[in-house]
Amino acid sequence: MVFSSLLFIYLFLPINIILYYSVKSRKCKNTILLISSLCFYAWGEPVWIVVLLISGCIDYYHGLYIGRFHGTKWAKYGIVSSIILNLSLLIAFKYSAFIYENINLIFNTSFQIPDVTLPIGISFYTFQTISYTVDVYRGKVQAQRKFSTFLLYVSMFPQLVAGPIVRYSDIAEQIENRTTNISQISDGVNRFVIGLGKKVLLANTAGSFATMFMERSSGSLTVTEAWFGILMFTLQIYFDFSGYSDMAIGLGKIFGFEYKENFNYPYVSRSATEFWRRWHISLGSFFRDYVYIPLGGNRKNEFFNLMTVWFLTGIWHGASWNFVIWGLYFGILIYLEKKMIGRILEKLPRIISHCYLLVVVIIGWTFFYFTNMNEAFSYLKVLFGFANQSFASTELNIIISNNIFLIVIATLLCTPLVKVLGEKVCKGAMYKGCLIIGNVMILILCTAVLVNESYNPFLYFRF
Amino acid sequence: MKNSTISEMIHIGIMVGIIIVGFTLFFLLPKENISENEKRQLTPFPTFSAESFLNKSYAQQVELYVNDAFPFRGQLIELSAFYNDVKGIRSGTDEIQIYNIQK
Repeated sequence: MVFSSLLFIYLFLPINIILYYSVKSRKCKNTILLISSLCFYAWGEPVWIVVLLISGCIDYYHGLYIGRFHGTKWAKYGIVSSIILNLSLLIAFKYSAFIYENINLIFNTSFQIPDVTLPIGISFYTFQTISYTVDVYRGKVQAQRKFSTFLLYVSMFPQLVAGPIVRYSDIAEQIENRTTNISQISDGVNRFVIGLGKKVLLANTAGSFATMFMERSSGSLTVTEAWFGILMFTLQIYFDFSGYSDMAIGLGKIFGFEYKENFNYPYVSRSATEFWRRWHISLGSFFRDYVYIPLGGNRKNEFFNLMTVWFLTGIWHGASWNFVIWGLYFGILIYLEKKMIGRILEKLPRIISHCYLLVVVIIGWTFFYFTNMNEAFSYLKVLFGFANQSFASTELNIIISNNIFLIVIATLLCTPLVKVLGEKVCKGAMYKGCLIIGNVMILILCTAVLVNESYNPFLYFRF
Repeated sequence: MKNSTISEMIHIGIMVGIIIVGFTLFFLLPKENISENEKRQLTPFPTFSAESFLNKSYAQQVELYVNDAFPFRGQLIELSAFYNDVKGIRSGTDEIQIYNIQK
């Protein structure tokens, strides 16, 4: 079940809200949330819910064990065992086919490639549980004694299948003691509807255009079509993922939880370093706190540490070499920015550093989109005019003209401009009125588009 | 009560109201079997079986059923078509889509 489906919005969500707010005690509310989260997951993953439960059990007991022997060598064994078991689950389900393919290729063997389907959200909840046991080991949080409470943290449906990666230390207190107020619920409803609009009205349309051009053979693409295709993918992936994060944050608020922000207008950045401080913040901070700093950060072996983090960031996104190249590409860029380019970028006019960032991000998305590297390089050749393709296209002119308002609105919404202007122009009661009218329009329009639409995949579901 | 709290309550009331009305009407309104405009049979409610649930086909069929049985479906499709038209500038009433032919 995805958030942007009629089944979720008009059946699952109202039943949940009614049940949740019809009970008073926090214990009952948590029980309702746990049952509904497990139902939500089982609906989309009826078999592999077992993996989620096993992962929950492993880390619950490891947490207790590490907490009990905190500060001793036994705790160290516990954390090593927890990390090995968690990563084994991830490798078995996500990377086994990739590993076998590469072994067959390198050693010319013919091992049968395992046909394992990826359990939805495994990359997200595995990282959440790793962060929990590591934080217990570091003494940052107390081990959770109640299994149902721990399972609620692991399986909570707002963030379960596509993030953000919520750390136990951030919501442990909220699970046990939280209060909801009108302002928080109103804010949550607003965030959910904004996220829904980003996904249904912007990401899906941009995605259909991206597919239209990027799935074509590069021999039949014009230069402008190639640019349009990759720009639409650039918009799609941002609105798709940030829309999902908005919906997750909004749903969290409706049920009394405050999650940290996961996006902060990444396309207004002026360097790759800044881009990754604004894009998928929960993943970046996970790798910083649990991999980069423990490896030594920038104090020793900085290049090696950076490359390790970016190799992992790449492979986390998918078991394919293009994701590894995409990750390392950003690793090298960030290293170069630290050592040389960064100082130059700061001195350059803002417009030039913005253009630099957009070009490097667009090249990055090309590697991200095409699992076949030959296709990626052929596409880049067309993009930068090295393929002797025609420049313009009548078909593209019609598509742009037919969707010009949407394209302009989507581009503006990638920047904080609309938010800042909106807050300046609409103040007080007028702002509240605009908010209500805007949200009603977005919800009804999204409902209409969902009734009429079959194209509705979430890109980050495959991670 | 503060003005901001009242407006927030109105906001929540309207938004939750729309969802609850959609939810209630979904169960109350009679369902059609055939769509005259689309010239197709609408998705029936699937029969449950352990096999169909485990292979996810039951969940997919239920989602299709909800889409096809949603209240005011015809009007919502018209609204969606209107939204499609106002996304940009369209010249004339008859449109011709030009496709590239791969050589």
